[in-house]
Parts: sequence; structure tokens; C-alpha cells
Amino acid sequence: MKIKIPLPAVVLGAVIGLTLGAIFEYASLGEADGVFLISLTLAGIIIGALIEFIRHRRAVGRAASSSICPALKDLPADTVEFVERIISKMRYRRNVRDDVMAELATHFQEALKDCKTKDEKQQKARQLVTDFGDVKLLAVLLRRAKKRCRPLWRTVIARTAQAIVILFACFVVYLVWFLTGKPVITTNFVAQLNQLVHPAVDESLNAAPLYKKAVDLYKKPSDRFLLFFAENYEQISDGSVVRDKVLAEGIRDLLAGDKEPDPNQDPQELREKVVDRMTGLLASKYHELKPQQKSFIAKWIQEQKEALDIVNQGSRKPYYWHQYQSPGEDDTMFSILLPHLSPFRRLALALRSRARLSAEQGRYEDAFEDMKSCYRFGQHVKAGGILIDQIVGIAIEAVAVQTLTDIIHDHEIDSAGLAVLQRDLEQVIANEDFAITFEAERLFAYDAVQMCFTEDRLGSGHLYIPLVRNLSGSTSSDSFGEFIFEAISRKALKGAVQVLFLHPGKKQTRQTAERLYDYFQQVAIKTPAQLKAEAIDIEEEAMKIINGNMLLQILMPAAGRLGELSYRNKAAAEAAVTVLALLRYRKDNALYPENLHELVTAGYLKNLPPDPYSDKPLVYRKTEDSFLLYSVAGNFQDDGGKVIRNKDGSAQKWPDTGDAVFWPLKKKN
Amino acid sequence: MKFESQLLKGIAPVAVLEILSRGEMYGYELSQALEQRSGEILTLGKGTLYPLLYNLEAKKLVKAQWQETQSGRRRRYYSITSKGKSELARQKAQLKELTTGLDLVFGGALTTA
Repeated sequence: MKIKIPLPAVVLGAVIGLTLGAIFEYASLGEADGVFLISLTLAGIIIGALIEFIRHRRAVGRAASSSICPALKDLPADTVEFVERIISKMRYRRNVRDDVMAELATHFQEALKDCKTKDEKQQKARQLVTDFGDVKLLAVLLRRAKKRCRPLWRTVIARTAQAIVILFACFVVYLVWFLTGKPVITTNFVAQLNQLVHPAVDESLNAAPLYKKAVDLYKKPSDRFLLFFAENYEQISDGSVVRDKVLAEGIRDLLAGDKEPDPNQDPQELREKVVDRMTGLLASKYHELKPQQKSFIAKWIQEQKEALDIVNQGSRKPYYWHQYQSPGEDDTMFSILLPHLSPFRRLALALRSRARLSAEQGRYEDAFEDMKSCYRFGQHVKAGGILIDQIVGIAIEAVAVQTLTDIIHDHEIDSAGLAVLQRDLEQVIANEDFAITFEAERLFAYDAVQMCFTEDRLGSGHLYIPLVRNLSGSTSSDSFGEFIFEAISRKALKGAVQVLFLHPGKKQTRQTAERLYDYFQQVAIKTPAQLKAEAIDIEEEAMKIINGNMLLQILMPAAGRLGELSYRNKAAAEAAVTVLALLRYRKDNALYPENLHELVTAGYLKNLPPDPYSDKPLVYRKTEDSFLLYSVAGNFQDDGGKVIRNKDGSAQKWPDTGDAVFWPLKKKN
Repeated sequence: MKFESQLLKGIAPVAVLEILSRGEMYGYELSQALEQRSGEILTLGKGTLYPLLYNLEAKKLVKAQWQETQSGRRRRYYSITSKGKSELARQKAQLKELTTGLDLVFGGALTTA
């Protein structure tokens, strides 16, 4: 068979493509660098070639039908065309159509075989075509009849294939729906958070502006201060010599100025690290510092006087609330900024350093005032509401209590001084709500549900991949395709399918979040001992409520541990009050009481200090020249005041084995 | 005479089976026989004969086979199957009853007209 060279359509396609390419190139002002010209010309050539190919196939098909059905050769052209139209409209398997075509051709051949002249044949053929019926209807009837003729197995295959196609089509429709869905932000949870933490009182009662002022006044460490650290790190390091050496080298490079600064090291961050280390060392290695070193630190602390005095001033305010803000226009909880927490921590550590130095100089009242301020500062930060605020607040409170205990351990303070301190400390902790609150955290979860699900459609929104990625960091894929590809490459397709198609919907997730945070709030008030007595495993119970909801799994805070943290803080504060009472008792009576009841009876202590790990009073034992005061801690067993030590010899404050010993502290070096 | 299509649709398969019960035939021959034996009363559209035959074939009432004649022409011959014969007997009995019933309704006018 002679095959035509597909030149005309190809040339025409190339010309059209070239013209369009030139127009697009012109429209793109040459920025496309010939991409349009080349791609559209190639597309034109390909389309032209395809057109020619289809034409060629049709010609081959026509030739083939004559060869398949020789009877067609003897029929008039009108009849052949009629038969071919019926067969073409049948739209069924080729071999069946060939069979039907052969039979129809035979029919016409038989009907025309007696015609003697060509004209007679033409005339009769026209009549036959007219009598034969409507082409389209006939083709439909033939197709249906032939379909009924096919064997069962072929019908099964055909129906299965149809079902697959329908399912695939449904899947595509679902996919389009799935991929076009986007979350809709309808509730401003940042505004709700601000409403939650903002008491209905006058702005002048808010400590936040003063703390902000203190942060602004906080002096960055001078070069001299940095150099002091760099030159003395070996003497004052507390076991982290390698880390401090790196820090010292960074400082030398920073101050030398003749070296290119390390691009990975932010100079400001380096300075802050040094301050953190110095204030840390001042607390942990206080007794090992030489007078000269202490004096050097005292100078730096003096520079912070204005900032620290303002913190003291702020801590006396009855309220603190932070105005949460999120950058940009999205107003989502996850983008709110918490830049205040890190400077707050530094202010608390600076207060601690100043208290230690004041005590060193015999100015105990100043030292205690700083630590009471520090404690109240921690209480304020806790009131911020969100979990991270509460954790930082608890840490600041812990710094204050520990420093107070250290000072009364290291210095001889008279009974009157101790009494004032005890009274003030009792007042500070009297009305404090130690339990962690999850109300603000609940808003985080609700906002996450709002952000991570497409808007409800067909009763249930589905997870929105890009935002789930932001929350979990479990994938780096923004697009659906990348997400699937990544899941396949990680052999985690099952998990991906679950995330995409089987994960509980928006409404269900929101309802589960409500139940989860109701539960957290309900158990947050229980002491560790109560939880143990009631055999409550918070994490396990939470997982039951979540029931495999991946989003809530990502968001779920370690509620059990956080609850413990708050009760530990309470126990430490009440232990500090008890220690003060015990020291006062001894000063007044020259001996320690036999038990804590004596202390209460004698009026030195209002109430017995509860141990959250036993729901009984903290354990008190009189020793030869001192006493033991401890909590039974994480194993809920009285180990006789057994201290568990870290590798560097320091005592673990809340060990899982042994006890949490509040007194005696490590002896003076 | 033109029959209502629904009436013809019901009768045509019985007529085809009846003709084929007397011997195998190919499509054109069958259409001619149908016309001639019915006195040109049962004139199916020629095109509709083939879907009808294929339907009968699907129900296994007839079977078809290509055969080559002495002149070298190929024809598809249809013959009635045993299932077809049973069906024909059943249909004929029903038609007979129908005719008797209609005759009674029309007071013998149908058979005497």
C-alpha cells in the first residue's frame, strides 16, 4: 500500500505554530527566550503529523473493510456507504462488526443478484437502502443484539471494566473536589485568646507595660564582660568546659575584629549565651567564684539596676495580661509571637544573680525582695494563659524558691528576718492556683482544626496537606503529588492514604478536641497521688479519646507531665515556707521539733505542707544536727530521703527513684 | 397491510422460528420467505430482521453458521435449535389459545371474516 508522506498538514502545523510562537514571543517582550517559538512550532508539527496519521488510518481502514468483506466490492457505492455507516455507528468490537458487515453485504448482494443492468441495480439498491431502515436505530439494535450474544465471561469482564472506569471517574471527581478544597478561617481565635486572658480591670493594673519597659532597659553585656568570660571560662566552668571553650573562642573571634565573623553565629546570640552561662554559673558555682569575679559580675548586675527595679515594680501589680498578636493578616494562633518569654527568663536570672550578690553583702532584705518579686513575676507570666507561658512562669517561680532556699542555707539569718520572709512568701503563694489550665491551649486545637481542614462539604471537611505539614513537620511536600510521591518513597503510602481519605473529618475532629481538652482540664486538678490512686493514665486515656486522630496526636500536649510540674512547684514553695518555719523554731528553741505537728501547734506554720506524691504531709525527720524534709517523689515510696545524683554530683530535684529532698542542701564548699 | 410495530414485534420471532423449523436459511432468504408465506402481510423492515435473528441467537433459540456456496459466496445460515423448537411449540400453543379467545370475543367474526 502506498503511504502518503504527511507533508501538507505537517507544514501547515509548523507554519501556524511558528506564527503563534512569534506572537507570544512578542507579547512576552522577549523574556521567554524563544521558548514559545520553539515549543509552539514543535506542537504545530506534532499536531499536523497526528492529523495526517489519523487520515492515513482511516484510509487503511476503508481499504481493510473491502478486503475483509469481498461482497462489498460488487455493491453500488451508495449501498457500500450505507453498510459502512451502520457498521461505523455500531461502535462495537471490530471482529463482531466485520461479521455483521459481511452478513449485511451478503444480504444486499443476494437482493441485487438478479438485476441485469447497472441502472436497474442502482435503482433497486436505493430502494433496498430506503426499506432497510434508519441507520442510527439499526446500528443501536445491532449493537444491543450482539451484546446479548456475547458469552458470560466476556460480559463479566466488560461489566468489571465499566465498574472500574466508573469508579475511576468517581475517584477523579473526588480528587478534584479534594484538591480544590481549602480551609476557611471563620473564627479569630487570637482575639478569643486575648479575651480569655484579659481580666475586666483597668489597664493601669496590668504589669505587662512595666515588664516590657524592663526588657527594653535590659543592658546587653559589654565587650569587657564577654572578655572576662573568655579569659576565665576554665576556672568557672561547671563541667561543660568543651562547650564553654567553643563559646570563648567565638567571643575572641567576635572581639578580635580581624577575622571574618562566623556566618552561623549571630553575635547578639553569642552575647546572650555568655550572659546565660555567667548567670547560670553564678547560681551553681557561686562558692567557687573569686571575689574579683564576683565583683565583675556585680558591676554588670548594677548596670541592670533600672530594668530589675522596674520588674520589682511590675511584680507588685495585681494583674498581668499579654496582648497576643499574630503577624500579617492570617490571625492564627500558630503564628502568634512570643518574643517576651526569652527576655523574661533573662530578667529572672538577673534578679537571681542580684539576690545572691545582695545576700553576699549581708543585704538580706534586698535579696529576699528580689526573690519575692521574681516569684510574683513568675506568677504573672503563668497567667499569660498559653501553655508555654505557664511553663516559663513555673520555671521563674522555681528559680525564686530555689534561690531563697540557697540563701537561707548559706547565710545565717536571724529569726525575725526569717519570720518576715516566711510571712511574705506565705502571702505570695496563699491564693495561687497551681493547676495548669488548658483553656488557651484548647483554642490552639480549635484553631488548628480550622486551619488544617477544608471547609465542611458533604458533611465533613478533610485534612489540608500544606497546613498539616506546617504543624507536624512530617513532610516537606506542599502539593498533593509531592506528598504522595514522598509517601511512596518512604514506603508510607498506607499512612498517607489514611491522612488523605480516612482521617476523621472537621466536625468530628473538633468534637474530639472538645472532649480531649475537657478531660485535660478535669484531670489537671488531680495530684499525682490521686491519679495513681484512681489508676488514671492521662496519656493513655487521651489516646483513647483521640482514637487515632492524627492531627490531635500532633497537637496533644504532655498533659500528665505538665500537671506534675505544677504540683512539684507547689510542693517546693510550701517546702520553702516549712524550712523557714523550722529554722525559726530552732533559733527560738535551740532544737528542731520532733514532727511538723509541733511546728503547727507552736504557731510557726499555718498548715502542714502537702506532698502531691502521697497526699500526706511532706516527710520530715529530725537528724542529729539538722533535719530532712522531702517528697516521696515519682516512685510514690518513702526512700528515707534518698538523694539521686547526676553524674556531676548535683542532686536530681524530682527523681523517678529516690526522693525529692528539699533540705538539707549540699553542704558549703 | 402495516402492522402496529408492538404487535409485529411480539409475533415476528415466532414467525421466524416457524419458518426456520422447516429448514435452515440465510438472512435474505428468510426475509423473502417471511413475506411470501405471510402473503406479504408480515413485512419486517429488512434491517430489523438481523437484530431479531441476533436476539434469537443470544437466547440460543437459533444457531448460525457461515457456509460457502458452490459459486464461492459466503452466507450465514440460521437453523432452529431444540430449545428453539420447544419455545416455538409453547408460543404456538399460546397463539392458538389467544386466537380462540379473541374469536370468542368477536363471536367467530375473526375466523369467518
